[in-house]
Amino acid sequence: MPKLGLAVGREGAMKRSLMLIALALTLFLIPPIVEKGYYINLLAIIFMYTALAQSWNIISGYSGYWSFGHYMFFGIGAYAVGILVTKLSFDAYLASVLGGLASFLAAVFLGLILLRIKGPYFAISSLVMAEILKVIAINEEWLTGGGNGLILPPRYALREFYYAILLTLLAVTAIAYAIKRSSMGYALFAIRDDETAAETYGINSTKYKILAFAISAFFAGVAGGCFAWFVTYIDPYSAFDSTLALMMIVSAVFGGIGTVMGPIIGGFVFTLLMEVLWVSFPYVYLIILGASLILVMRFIPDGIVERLVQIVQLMGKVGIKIPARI
Amino acid sequence: MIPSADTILQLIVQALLLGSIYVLMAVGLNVIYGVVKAINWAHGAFVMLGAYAAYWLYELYGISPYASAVFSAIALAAIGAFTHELLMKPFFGMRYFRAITLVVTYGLAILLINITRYMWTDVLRGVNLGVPPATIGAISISRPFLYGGLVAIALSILFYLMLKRTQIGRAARAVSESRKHAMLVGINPNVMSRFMVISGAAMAGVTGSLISTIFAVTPEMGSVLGIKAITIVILGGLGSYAGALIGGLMIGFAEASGTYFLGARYQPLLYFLTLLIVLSIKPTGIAGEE
Amino acid sequence: MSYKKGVVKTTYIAIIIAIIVIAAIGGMAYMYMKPAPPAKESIKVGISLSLSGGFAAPGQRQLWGLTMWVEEVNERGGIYVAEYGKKLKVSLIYYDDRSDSATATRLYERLITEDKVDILLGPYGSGITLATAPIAEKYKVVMLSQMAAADTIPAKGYDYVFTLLAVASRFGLSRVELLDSLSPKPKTFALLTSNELYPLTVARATKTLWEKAGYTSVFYEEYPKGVTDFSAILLRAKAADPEVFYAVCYPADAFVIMRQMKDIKFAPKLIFLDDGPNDPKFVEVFGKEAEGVFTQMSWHWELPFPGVKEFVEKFKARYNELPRHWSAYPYAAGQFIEKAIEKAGSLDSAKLRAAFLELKDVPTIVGPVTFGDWTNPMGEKLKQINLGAINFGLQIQKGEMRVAIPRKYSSVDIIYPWPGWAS
Repeated sequence: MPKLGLAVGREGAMKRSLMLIALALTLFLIPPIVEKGYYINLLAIIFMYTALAQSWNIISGYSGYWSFGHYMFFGIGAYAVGILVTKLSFDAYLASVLGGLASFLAAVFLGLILLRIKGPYFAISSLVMAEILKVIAINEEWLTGGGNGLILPPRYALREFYYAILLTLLAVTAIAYAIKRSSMGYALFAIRDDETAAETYGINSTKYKILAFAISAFFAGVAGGCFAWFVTYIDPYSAFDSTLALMMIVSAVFGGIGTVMGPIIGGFVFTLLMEVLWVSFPYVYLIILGASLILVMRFIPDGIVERLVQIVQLMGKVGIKIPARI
Repeated sequence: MIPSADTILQLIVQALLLGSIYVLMAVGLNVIYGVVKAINWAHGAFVMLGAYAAYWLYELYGISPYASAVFSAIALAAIGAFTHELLMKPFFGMRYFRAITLVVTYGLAILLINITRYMWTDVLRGVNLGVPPATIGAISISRPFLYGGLVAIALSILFYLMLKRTQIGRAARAVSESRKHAMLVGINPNVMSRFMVISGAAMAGVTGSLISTIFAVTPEMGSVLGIKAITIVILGGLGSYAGALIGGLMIGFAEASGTYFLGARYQPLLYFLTLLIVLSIKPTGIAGEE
Repeated sequence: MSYKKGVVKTTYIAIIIAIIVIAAIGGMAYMYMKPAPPAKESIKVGISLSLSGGFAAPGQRQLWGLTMWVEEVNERGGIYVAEYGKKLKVSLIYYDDRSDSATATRLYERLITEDKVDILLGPYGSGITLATAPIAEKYKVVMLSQMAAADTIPAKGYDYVFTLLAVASRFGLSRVELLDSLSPKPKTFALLTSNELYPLTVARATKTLWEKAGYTSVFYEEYPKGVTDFSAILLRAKAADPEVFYAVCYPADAFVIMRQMKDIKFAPKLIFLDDGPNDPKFVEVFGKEAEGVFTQMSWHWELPFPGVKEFVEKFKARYNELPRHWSAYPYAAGQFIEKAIEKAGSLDSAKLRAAFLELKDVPTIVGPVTFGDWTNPMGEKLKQINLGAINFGLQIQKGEMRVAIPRKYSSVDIIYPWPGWAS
C-alpha cells in the first residue's frame, strides 16, 4: 500500500496525540489507590462501554459492516469465563484472556458465514446470530446452567476489575490505532468505500474483514469475561443483552465512526451523560435519552470529534490563537 | 408424540393467523423502506401506540378496536409525518443514511416507549371482547386472531394492488428506483416519501388496534414484535412485498411447528436458523434485489 | 489531509485530554475537600429500586410501602438508639437501578461508600439481589432482602444478608397443600415455566414436591423470554390431558396464556397462573372468565396479622389500590429494622446482625418474623431466612382474590373443579 507524502505530517501529529491519549489513560491508574466505591465502579463501567465501542469500531467503523450482534462476543467471553471458572476452576484472569480467544475463534468461524452478507442484511444477521447463541445458552444446561445462569465464586474485586478493564481499553485503543495506520486499515477503508472496487485493486477483502471481525471480537470477549467475574452472576439474558450492542453503536456514532478518538470520546461522554441523567431525573431519563439521541444525530451526524475539529478551525479563522504544541 | 390430523390442522391455522399479523407489520416496514430506504426501528413502538389508542377508545367510549382502527391509523399517520419531516428528510443523501436513520428511529422508539410508560405506567392492560372462539369441525379459532389475520391479509393485498396498479404506486416505484429520474418526469420525491412513511405508520396503527385484542397492552409490547418484523423483512428481502408475505408466513410456521415438535425452549432457534440459512444462500433475502 | 490540519488535530486532542485530566483531578480534589460528616442526625436506610425497566411496576410499589413506613416512624419521632441516647429519624436513600444488575452493583457501592448508609434493603428480583449481595457482604453492612425468592441467595451462606420473603422452595410446600386439600384429588399435572432464575426455582421445587406427594407429571415445558404466541405449547399441554395446569409465568404472558387456552378450549380442572391474575387489571380484563383461577402472593390484605387492617386502609386511601406483597414486605422489613435497632441500641453492623438473629417472632404485617437456618426439600442449606414466611395460594372468587392456601388462613371454600369456559 503506497503511503501518500501528505500523510507524513499527519502521522507525526497522530503519534503525538496517541502519546497524549496514553498519558491521559495512564493517569486513570491513580484513582483506585486513593478512592474506592461508587466513582471507581462508575469509571470502570465507562471504560467497559468505551472498550466495547472501540472494539465495535474496528470492524464496523473501519469496514462499514455494521454489526448489531456484537454483544454476542461479550456473551461468549462471559460464558467462557463462567464455565472455565465454575467447572474447571481456572484463574479468573487467565480465563478472561481465554474468553477473548474463544470470541476470536468464534468470530473467525462465524465471519465466514456472516461477512458474505452485506449492509442491513449483515446487521440483522449478526443480531440473529447473537440471539441463536442466547438460545443455546438457555438450553444447554449441563454447560451453561440454562436459565438459572452461572454463579461464580464470590470475590467482588472492584479494584481488579477496574485495572483489568482499563488495560483492555488501552490495548484495544492501541490496536485500533495500529490497524488504522497499517495497510490493513487502508484495505478496510477501501472496503467501506466500495468493496467491489477494492477487490478489483487486488485487496483480499474476505481476509481483512474476518481478521478485523476476530480482533474486534477478542476485545469484546475479554470485556465480557472480566464483567462475568466482576458481577459473579451471569444468565443468558444479561450476558447476551442486545442493549449492549446499541450502547456500542451509539457511543461510536456519538463520537465519530471510523476514528480512534471517536469511540473514546463518545463512550466517555455518552456513558457519563446516561449516568448524570439517570441520577438527576430518575423517572424521565429514558425520555431524555431518546430525545438526545435524536437531537445529536439530527445536528451532529458526523459525531462530536468532527464537530470539534470544525470549531477549532473556526476559532483559528477568527483569530483566536491556540498553541499548536503543548 | 405424533399429533392427530386435527391438531396439525389447528397448528396450521394458528401459524397462518400469526403469520399474517407478522406480514402486516413487515409490509408496513417495507412500505417505508421501498421508497425512503430507511429501516424504521420505531415500527414496534408505533404498533404499541396504536394498541394504546385502541385500548383507551374501548375503555372510555366502548368503541370496538376494529372500528377504532381508523383513529389509530390517523393518529399514527400524524406521527409518521413528523418522523419523515424531522427524522428522515434531513439525512437524505448522507453517506451513512441507512445507519443514521436506524439509530435515530431507535432513539424515537426509546422516546415513545418511555413517554407512554410515564403517562400510563407499566400496568398491564388489554381489550377482552369476550367472544367465544369460532369452531370449524374439530378445530377452534380465536376470533380476535381470525379477524386480525383477515384484516391483515386484506390490507396487505390492498396496498400491494395500489402500488402495482395505481398512478401513486407507479410514482412510488419510480422514486424508489431513482429520485433524480423521478424528478425529471415531474414526480416530487419528497411528497412520495412523505406519503409512504405516513402510510407505513398508519399501517402500524392498524396493526396495534388488531393485536390489542390478542396480547397484553404494555409499553414494551411492540419491542419483540418490531424486531421480529425487521427480521422478516430481511428474510424476505428489503422492499419486496412478495418477500414479506413469504417471510411472514415462514416465520409463523417455523414458530408454531418449532414449538410443537422441538419444544418451547427451542422456539426461537428454528426461526433464527431459517433466516441465517436463507441469507447464507442468498445474501439479499428471498426476493430482495442486489 | 494537510499538515496544518494534522497540527490542529493535535491541538484539539490535547485540549480534550487537558479537560479530562483537569476534571479528574478536580473531581478527586472535591472528594477530598468534602467537609467531615456532621454528627449523627438520622438513620440512613439505603435501597436500589427498579423504577424503570422491566420491574418498574413492582419497584414503584416497593417504594410506596417503604415510604409509608418511613413516614410513620418519623411521625413517632424516629427510632430510639441507646448509643446516641435519643430518638433518630429515618431517612430513606434510594436510586433507580433500571432493572439492571450491573447498575445495581454500582448503586450499592454508592450507598455504602458515598452515602454511608447504616442498613441496606435488598433490590427487586433474584438476579439483581444475587449480584448485589456480595457487596453488602464485602463491606459488612446488613442487607435485608425482601423481594428475592430464589433459594440460591440464602444458599450462598452470606453472614450479612437476610431473606425476608418466602423462598421459592417454600412456594412448593403451599402448592402441595393445595392439591392435597382438593376432593376428589387430582392425579395428573402439567407445568409450564418461564426459563429464568426465579420462575425456574419455583417450578422445579413444585414439580419435585408434587411428584414426591404422588402426583404424576404429564407435561413439563420451559419457555424462553420473548415468546409471543403460546398456542402451540398449549395445544401440546391439552393433548397431555392434565387435571391441573400450573404456569409459572410473568403477568404479560399470563394474559396471552389465558386467552389462548380459551381459544383452543383447553379446560383443565384447575388453572394456576403464578403471576398475572394477581395483577389488578387481570380480573378487570377477563371478568367472569377469571373466576376460579388460582394465583399466588406472599402476602394478602385479608390476613389476620396485627397492623394489616390499618396498613391496607392507609395504603388504599393514598395510592388508590389494594397493597400487594410488593408493598407489604418492604413495610414489614421496616417494622423489623425498627425492632432490631432498638434491641441493638446501636447502628453498628455487627451489633445489628446479632440483634437480627436474637429477635424471635417479631410481629409485622407479614406475620411473625424469625430469622434462622433451614434445609429446603432439595437438601440445600439456607442461611438466615425468615422461618415464618408463607406463600399464599389465592383463588379468584366473585371477582376478588381470596386466600385459599394455607387452609388455616382461609375463610372461603375452594371452588373445584374449575367451572370451565363460559358459553
